[in-house]
Amino acid sequence: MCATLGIELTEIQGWVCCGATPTASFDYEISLGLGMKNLGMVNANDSIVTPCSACFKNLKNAEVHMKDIKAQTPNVRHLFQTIYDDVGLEIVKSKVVNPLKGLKVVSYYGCLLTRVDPRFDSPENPVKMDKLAVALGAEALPFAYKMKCCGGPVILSKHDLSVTLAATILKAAKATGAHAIMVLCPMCGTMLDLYQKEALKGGEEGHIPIAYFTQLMALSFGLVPEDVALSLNTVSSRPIFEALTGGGR
Amino acid sequence: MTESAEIPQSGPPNSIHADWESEILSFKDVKLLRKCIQCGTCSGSCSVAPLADFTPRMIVNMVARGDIKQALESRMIFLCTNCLACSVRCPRDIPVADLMVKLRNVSISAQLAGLQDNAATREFVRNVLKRGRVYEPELMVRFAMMTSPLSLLGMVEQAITLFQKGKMGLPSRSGTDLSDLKARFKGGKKHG
Repeated sequence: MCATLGIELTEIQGWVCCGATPTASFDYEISLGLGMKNLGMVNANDSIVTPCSACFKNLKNAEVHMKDIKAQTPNVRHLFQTIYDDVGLEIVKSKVVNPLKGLKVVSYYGCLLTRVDPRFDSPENPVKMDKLAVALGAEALPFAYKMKCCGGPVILSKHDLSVTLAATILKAAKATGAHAIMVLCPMCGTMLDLYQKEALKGGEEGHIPIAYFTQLMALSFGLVPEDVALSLNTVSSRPIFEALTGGGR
Repeated sequence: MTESAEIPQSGPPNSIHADWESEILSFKDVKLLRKCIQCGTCSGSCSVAPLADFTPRMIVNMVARGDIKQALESRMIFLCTNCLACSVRCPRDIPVADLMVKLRNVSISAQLAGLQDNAATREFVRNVLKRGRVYEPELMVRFAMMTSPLSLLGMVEQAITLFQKGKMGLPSRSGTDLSDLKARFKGGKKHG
């Protein structure tokens, strides 16, 4: 999908886990240390791109710290910023061969992204994801739970609370009549997808597919199913395909 | 900032207690807490406040008043998912979520945190630092063994799903030297 847009991705040799939320809870300095090790492995002229909100937050903290101490640092970007802000919607639109006609989605930012970096999108009324969905040919429905926490950070220590938070979002999304939830973070994706059966109870007919935004992009770009990878999600993606009228399959 | 950083102290001057207090009072934005107008925007924005014993507004007030032990013992500080809604919306620019992190740091090092919170936090960090990358199966099993081994049964179905989808396999190693961070993790002195 990135190759289609002319984005060249290289895996950082020796990357380390950003420490997610629990590491900062234990000791903020270790969390910062992990972030700085990752930044140190990247050429300061390059951008470091992450698909995840928690990595983005921790790497951004490290980037801010490096700038504070006047050290050279690569630019930290979330993949959505790379695509929406750096590549731009016009180019994305030009790559769409199978517009997602008939597909209704709600955009789910998750909690961190609009709050860590004010340039990401408005922290009160974000619209960039909706614009992306429309550019792909889908319909973006209004969604009041765009930035409510998915519960992911406390899944280990507070399992029931975490699943309750995910259930709130899933039920609200279903109530809008959307066919799918588009997400920007793999952790939110896991909470809403892998834990959906536990959160919503009931049978599969009441479930709603969760798609990482690049999966919907790949679908509209007409890429092969292995690159769209919707079959790797836990919840069946059938409602997405059923909603698409004319092409996209 | 010209305002004095003097914060009223409470409770008897016992040494462990004083240690927590100085640790919390070293929070970089502690002076800001006194600017809180107790409007409750943080609590209204909080996803977990309805399920907590004390709201974020009350926690800020406790620390500002110097009632640090009560704040450290609150269930709220570990229910917090650090989603930052409180910090972003605070009309006085108080980093409420950062305060929660600081309280958790001290709660864990002072061994005030409950079993679940302590085990989840420590085991996660141990797991990250071991290979530089999280290996979830090991993390989940170790956490379950420390808290409630029977909960492992509930994880079997998800584990099978993840395995079938090719999302769970053998651990991967970063190879990057983390000895400095490991030393920090093992050493009792974690702040400073």
